Amino acid sequence: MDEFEKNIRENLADFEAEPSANHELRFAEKLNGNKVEKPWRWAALAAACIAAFITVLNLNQEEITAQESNPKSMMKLSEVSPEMAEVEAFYTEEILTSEVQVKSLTGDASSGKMLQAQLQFLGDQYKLLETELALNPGDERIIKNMIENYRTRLKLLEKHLSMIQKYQQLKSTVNESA
Amino acid sequence: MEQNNNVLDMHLELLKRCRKGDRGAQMQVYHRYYKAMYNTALRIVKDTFEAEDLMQESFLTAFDQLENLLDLNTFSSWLKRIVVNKSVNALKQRTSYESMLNRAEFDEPMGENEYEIPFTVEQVKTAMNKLPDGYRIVLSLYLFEGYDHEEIAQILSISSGTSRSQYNRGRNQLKQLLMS
Repeated sequence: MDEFEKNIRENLADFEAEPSANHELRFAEKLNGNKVEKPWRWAALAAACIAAFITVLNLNQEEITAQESNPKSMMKLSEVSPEMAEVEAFYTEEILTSEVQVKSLTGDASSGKMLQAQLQFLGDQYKLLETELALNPGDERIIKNMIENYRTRLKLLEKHLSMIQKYQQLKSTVNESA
Repeated sequence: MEQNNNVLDMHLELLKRCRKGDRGAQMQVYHRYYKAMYNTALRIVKDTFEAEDLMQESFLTAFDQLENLLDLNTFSSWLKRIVVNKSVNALKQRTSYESMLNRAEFDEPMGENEYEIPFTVEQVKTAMNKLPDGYRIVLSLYLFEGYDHEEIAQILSISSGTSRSQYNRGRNQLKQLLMS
C-alpha cells in the first residue's frame, strides 16, 4: 500500500458526511411501517407549478423591480374582496403561529435550513404574484396561485412541526428505555 | 479490559433486544451505525437522497433478518455488506455493470517516483465523483470499506483479477485527476 492509499485509510473519518436533517425521524416512521413523505419533494413540485405559471405570465424582471419599488403596484389578496381578505388573514395568522411554534421547539437553526430556504423562495414567489395581481386585478388564476402559495407554506410548516414533535417524543421514549 | 467487555455486552444486549422488535433498541443501533452506512451507500450511488433510502432500507432488512445472524458480534460487517449489496444493485438498475467496467482510457503506468501527493479531503471527494462508476465503486470498496479483491469479486460478481485491474486503473486515474 503506497503513501496515497495509507493517507486515505488513515483519514477516513474526514470523508464522512451526514445525511439530511431529520433522517432519524424518517427512519422511525419507516420502522413503524409508515410510508415516508420526503417533504421537500412535494413542496418543490408545488413551487415549480407556481413558478411555471409565473413564467407563462411573461413577467419581465425590470418591470417587476420597478413595480416593487412602488408599493401601489403590488396588490394584496385582501384587496380583492372581503372573502379573500378573510382567506389572507387566516393564512398569515396560521403561518405566523406555526413559525413561532417551530422556533420555540427547535432552539437550533440547522434543522430548519431546508425549510427556511423553501419559505424564502415561496415568499419571493408570492411577491411576484402580488405584482402581477396589480397589473391584472381580479385575475382568477393569479388569485388561485396566491392561495396555493399560502397553502404550501402552511403545509410545509405544519409537517415540519409534526416531525419535530414526533421526534422529541421518540427521543424521550428511547431515553426511558435505555 | 473490564470496561471493554461491559461495552461489548451492552452492545450484544442491545442487539438481542432488536431481535425482539424493541423499537427503542433499534433506534439506538441506527444511531450508532447510520453515519458509516450512509457514507458507504453514498460512495456507491453518489445521490444523497438515494443513499439515505438505501441505508435505511438496509437497517430494516437487517432487523428483519437478525434472527438468522448466528454471531451477533459480526453485526456491523454484516450490516455493511447488506448496504453495499443494496447500493450496487441500485446502481446496476440504472446502468449495466458491464458498461461500468471501464475501458483502459488512462492506462499509463505510474512512474517509479510516486511523489507524495498533497490533497485535501474535498479534492479527493471531488475527484472520486469524477471517476467513471466502475472505478469509483471498486476504489471505494477497497480503500474506504476495506474489502479485499476476493470479497469485491463476490460483491460485484466479477473475477478478483478484474477487481485488481479496475482498482489499479481507477487509482491511477484518481491520482491523475488530483495532480491536474
